[in-house]
Amino acid sequence: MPNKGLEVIEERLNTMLGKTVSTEFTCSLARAFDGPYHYLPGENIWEVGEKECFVWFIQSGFGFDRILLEDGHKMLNGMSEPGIFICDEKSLLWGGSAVSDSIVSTPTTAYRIPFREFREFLSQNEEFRENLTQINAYFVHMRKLRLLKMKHMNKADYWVDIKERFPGIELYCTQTEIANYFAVSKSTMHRLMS
Amino acid sequence: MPINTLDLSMVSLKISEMLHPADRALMANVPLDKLIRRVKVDSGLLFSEDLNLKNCITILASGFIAVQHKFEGKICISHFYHHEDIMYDTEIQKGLNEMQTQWYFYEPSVLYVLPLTGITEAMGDKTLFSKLKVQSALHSSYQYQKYINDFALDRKSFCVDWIRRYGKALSLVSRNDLALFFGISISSLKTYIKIATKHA
Repeated sequence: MPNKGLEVIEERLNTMLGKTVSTEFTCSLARAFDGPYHYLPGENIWEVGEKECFVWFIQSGFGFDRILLEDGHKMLNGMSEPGIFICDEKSLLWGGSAVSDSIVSTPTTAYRIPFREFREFLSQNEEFRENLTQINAYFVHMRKLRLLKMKHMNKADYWVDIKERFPGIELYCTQTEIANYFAVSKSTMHRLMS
Repeated sequence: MPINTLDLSMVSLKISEMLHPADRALMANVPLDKLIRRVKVDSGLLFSEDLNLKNCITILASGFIAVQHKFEGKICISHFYHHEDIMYDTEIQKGLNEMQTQWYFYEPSVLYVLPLTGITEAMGDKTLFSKLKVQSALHSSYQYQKYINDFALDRKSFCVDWIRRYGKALSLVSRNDLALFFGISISSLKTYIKIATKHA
């Protein structure tokens, strides 16, 4: 029986690569994901200090990944939402245990592939390696946009933008967390939210 | 022009640090001096087609560069590259560049470029080059996450530390551009410059 989640992963990979039809490697990478894993609000997909890390694909649900700062505070790193691939990137790049965690705010369904397998897949699959730059160009583009919105977008418009992307965000995160995500002071955030 | 020993060590170290620790040993016998090209760039705007840096790891040996974007009709700077930074042209390539991102060189600069495809790949270690391709692609997006995280840190201490570290920027970048980069007002910038330079 076809697994709907894996089809969604395949579709997502194709979109990121600008392809309309699946290729051998998008199929095999999607098939390498294991799941589905289900999470309830407040549960962690992964936690700080975890030694065995995974690349996750979020099929449905919203949440946040948070990075542990040197001063012991956790800062919102990014938003997890349907169709996104997330992981502890530092651990993926340089090994070691996770320095971030990921908490879900709404019921979430996800799929995962261990870093070890993901890296092995990359080293064995030339087509994927060739396409990886393009996949990462997509992430660069998304992050570039977020950075510019944080820096230069009118904050009130940015708040509307975020609320549309993550309905009910104010119910799941503290004002301090949201202020950090927006890179504004708590008082500015309070003004924007009221 | 041959690459000098100091620069060669710096480039080798930067590439090694970028690799996954399990793969660093692969760097041991690579004749980097034969694989790397030294590129001089004049000051001014650089377009992606001016230098072919696609599928390359580029390390800035000297110079100071702003990454400029067009956002909501204005030219904005998201970050800078300084001595020893690794740069990827993913951010300025024509595809997926709705924000018309460009590199602005404030002064004549020197870049060391390691192409990951073509003749260099053929001359180098195949395993190392496939690892470098993977790691550099992942690293290019990770660097942006770092710029985001930096911006979300306490603004005052970030600004003061940054100015102390890259004091050179004060003579190269306009106060207006710096204020936009930090996301603060000109008057706050002036205050932070005073704090940063007071104990310099």
